[in-house]
Amino acid sequence: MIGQTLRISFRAIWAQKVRSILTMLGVIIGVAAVIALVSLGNGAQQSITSHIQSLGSNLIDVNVGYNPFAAGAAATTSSTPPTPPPPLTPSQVAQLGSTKGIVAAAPVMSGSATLAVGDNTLSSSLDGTSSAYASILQYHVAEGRFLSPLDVQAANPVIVLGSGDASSLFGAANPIGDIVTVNGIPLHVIGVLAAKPTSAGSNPNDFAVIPWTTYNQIFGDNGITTVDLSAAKSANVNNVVDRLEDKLLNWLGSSQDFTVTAQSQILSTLSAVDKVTTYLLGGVASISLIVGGIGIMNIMLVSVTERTREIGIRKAVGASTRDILLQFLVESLVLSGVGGLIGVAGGVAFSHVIGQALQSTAVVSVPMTIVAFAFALAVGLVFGLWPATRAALMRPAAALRVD
Amino acid sequence: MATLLALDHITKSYPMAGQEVPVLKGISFSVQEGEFVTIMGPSGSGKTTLMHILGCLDVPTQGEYHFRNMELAHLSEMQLTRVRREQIGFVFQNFNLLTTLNAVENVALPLIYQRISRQEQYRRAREALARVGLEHRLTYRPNQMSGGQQQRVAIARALVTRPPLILADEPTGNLDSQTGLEVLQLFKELSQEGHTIIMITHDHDVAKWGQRILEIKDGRIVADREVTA
Ligand SMILES: Nc1ncnc2c1ncn2[C@@H]1O[C@H](COP(=O)(O)OP(=O)(O)O)[C@@H](O)[C@H]1O
Ligand SMILES: [Mg+2]
Repeated sequence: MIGQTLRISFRAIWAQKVRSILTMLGVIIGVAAVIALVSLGNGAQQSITSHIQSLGSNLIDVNVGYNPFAAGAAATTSSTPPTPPPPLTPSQVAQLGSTKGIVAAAPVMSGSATLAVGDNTLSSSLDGTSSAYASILQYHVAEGRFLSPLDVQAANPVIVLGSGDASSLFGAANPIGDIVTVNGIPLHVIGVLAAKPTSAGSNPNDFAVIPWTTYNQIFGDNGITTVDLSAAKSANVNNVVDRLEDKLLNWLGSSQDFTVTAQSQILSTLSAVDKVTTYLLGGVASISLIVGGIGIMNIMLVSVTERTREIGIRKAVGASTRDILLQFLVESLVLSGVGGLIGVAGGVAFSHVIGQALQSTAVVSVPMTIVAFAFALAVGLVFGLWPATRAALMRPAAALRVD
Repeated sequence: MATLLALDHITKSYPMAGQEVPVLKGISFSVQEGEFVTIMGPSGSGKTTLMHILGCLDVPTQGEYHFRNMELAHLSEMQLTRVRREQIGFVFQNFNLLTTLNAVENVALPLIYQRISRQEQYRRAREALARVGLEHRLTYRPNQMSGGQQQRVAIARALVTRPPLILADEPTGNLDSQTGLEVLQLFKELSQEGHTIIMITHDHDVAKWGQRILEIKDGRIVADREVTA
């Protein structure tokens, strides 16, 4: 019976091909839009997440410097910038590193410099730091070795190259033991880092690392204002951040003089924001699905009116109210279902095209696709209900008198 | 012979401009099983209204309608549907075939609603079409057939459920006289095979094909006579 009802519906839809396709268009566009937008949102979220995770998800950043937006800080109305807080001392860095829940700490000075090997020069970012840096930021050494505590203590003229800088300066040759000049100062290459996967918008391999003491000799001593720390895997990052903030507040006296940022907190905030954005986009797109449903209802109402005599004939030969209701409901479900399927195909194709154009990965979410399709069916059901009821409740005698 | 149906003071009025306009004004008659009855009357006399009530497509305003051992006048829509499905075959003036279906599919239509297997539906539909002489037109659409052929498809559709009663409302009204005669001949044969037929017409020559003529005028039966051959 349901098989024959389906056949009847397909035939009725086929009999009005152009009209049916135009009717389905609303659902097609709605489903495709939901899938494409959610996929792109998911893709964006994944690339942000993987980018931040590549920095090390246990990473905590301490910055010393005036931060007017610090939480809990009293709003200052004065327009003169306050005096900057004093930089941290190496022993304070060590004390931060021995905070409960912290496994490593490294001062980081960042800048850019001109690296040269013979005539081959390269403008690159350069970090001055200590031996803990590699483990905190999850870099592995591909060749040679990383900075040692002794290199820092003695301000040795040594440099470790990121894989990008190594290949820019030396090509395929092994640079270990060679000399690289940094702003004209010659340094020995002691190591090359293994490449990290690049992600959208940044390259974690185009840089070089030297001891922070050496950095100060080259660029002048501006003190330690940034410390990267690594939290233990088992540690509660929020508690660790609190402890660090307590220490810093103790030293500096004002919560506006420093910032402690945990990568995992940024990560969860960003991915929460992104999730909201994704579902917001999906929600907006699903409005077009509802509009598509209204289109179906409109056409079904027209169809019921046009087919009054058919309804009368079917009732005369024995169709019950339920049979007619079912027939028109199935018809509207077929319209929305076929539209939904085409929309799914279109949405998946569209997300790949757009994903490629934007060079971001579009991640088609299977549950979301199922939800979008189910929503299309639900729209067909809800908006088919009224026309189908109208058809089903027609009085056969009256329906047969219509010409 | 057993009584198939009996109408007892059936009235029907339609609401028009806030008033009830009576169309049938107390109709009483009965029909025996196997009878071929024609109901004759001028246009607007209430013939179609009467047929709709006989066929359970509508309910009377007042009166009783006995069909076999059932009382139909006050049944619910669901119960009326069952009577239509199982007891009655309809033939209309304008054929009333579904234009999107071919001949077999049109004839099989009543069987869909009887929940019969598809093979059985088609087997019976082909059989009914063969009975009306259209076994060579199975896959023709209504618009590919002449009026006489379409009406024969419609008659096959009325026969396919083997109903105890066949109702025909001006079945020759849209046909030329020669084709009309062929259709009437078919009804006569069906009657001779034992079918109970009630045929409505405004034409005295057509009415004479029945065994008994009921004359209806202005919503009342004004004559009831046997046709003498
Ligand atoms: N649904 C209706 N509402 C109001 N009047 C109707 C309706 N159906 C039929 N009538 C009226 O009932 C009368 C009888 O109609 P009908 O039964 O079709 O007559 P016939 O078939 O004998 O020509 C006509 O006057 C017609 O206008
Ligand atoms: Mg009439």
